[in-house]
Amino acid sequence: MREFATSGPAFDWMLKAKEQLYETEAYVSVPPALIITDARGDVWTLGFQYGPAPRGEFAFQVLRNGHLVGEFASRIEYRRGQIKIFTERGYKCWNGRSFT
Amino acid sequence: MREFCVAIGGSTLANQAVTLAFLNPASAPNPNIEFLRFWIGQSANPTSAQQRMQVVTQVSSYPTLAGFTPAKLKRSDPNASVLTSNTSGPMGSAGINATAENGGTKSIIVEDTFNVVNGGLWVPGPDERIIVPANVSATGAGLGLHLPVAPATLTNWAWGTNFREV
Repeated sequence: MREFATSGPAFDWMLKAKEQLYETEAYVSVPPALIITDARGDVWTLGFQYGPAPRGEFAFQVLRNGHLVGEFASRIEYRRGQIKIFTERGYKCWNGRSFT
Repeated sequence: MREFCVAIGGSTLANQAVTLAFLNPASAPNPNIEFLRFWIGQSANPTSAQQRMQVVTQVSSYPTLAGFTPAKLKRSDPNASVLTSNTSGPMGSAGINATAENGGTKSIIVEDTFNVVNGGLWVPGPDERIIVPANVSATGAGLGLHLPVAPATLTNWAWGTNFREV
C-alpha cells in the first residue's frame, strides 16, 4: 500500500482551486499587443492620454490593472519576467512598487 | 477637439467573420471622423493563437449590428457625437458586434494579425490616422473594425476605437 505524506498535500487536485493565471510570453511589447499579463497576474497597457515622450515617438499613460502608475511611455515590454517601459528618460523597470 | 469612444467588453461573437465596430459619418457639412486608435482583446482563451483583423470601408449592404452610442472622452463636452446608435449602419450611425454581414463589399485599408492572448492595439501616428470624410451621397462610406475569420473562442471579447470629429 502506498503511503501518503501527512505533512502536506501531495497533489494539485487535492488543493483548493486557484485562480487561472496567464503569463505573457517574453519579449511581448505593447503596442502592438494590447496587454501584458505579468507573473503576478497584473495587467499592463497604455492609456489614452499622451504626455512627455521619447524623441520621435508618442507616449501614453502607463496603466497597471487599469490604474495610473504615474508614467508616460511609448511602449511596455516584458523581458526576463520584468516589466520595462520606454520613456522620455529611457528605459525604466518595475520593481513591484514603482518604476526606477 | 471632440473625441469619442466606441468600446465594449465581455461580448460573444457570431461564429463567422464579424464586423466588431462600424462607424458611418453623417452627411456634410457634419464633421469628418478621424480614428485615433483601435484595440481588440479577449479574456476567455489562454491558448496562444494568431487572429486576423482588418480595418475596412464599406459603402453598401452594411452589417446588421447592435446599436451603440459613442461615449464622450471629454466628459465636460456639452455635445454628443454626431454618430447615433443604429443597428443597420446608415450614414451618421455607430454600431457594434455584427450578427450578419449582409454581403456588402469591404475595401481593406489595414490588415494585421494579433495573438489572442495578448490582444492587438494599433495607435497610428498623426500622419497615419484614417480620416473618413463626411458623406456626400446617400450611400456613404463607413469604416469597420473587422475579423475576417471567426476566432477559436467566441466569448468574452473586448474591442474599441477612439475617434475625433474634425
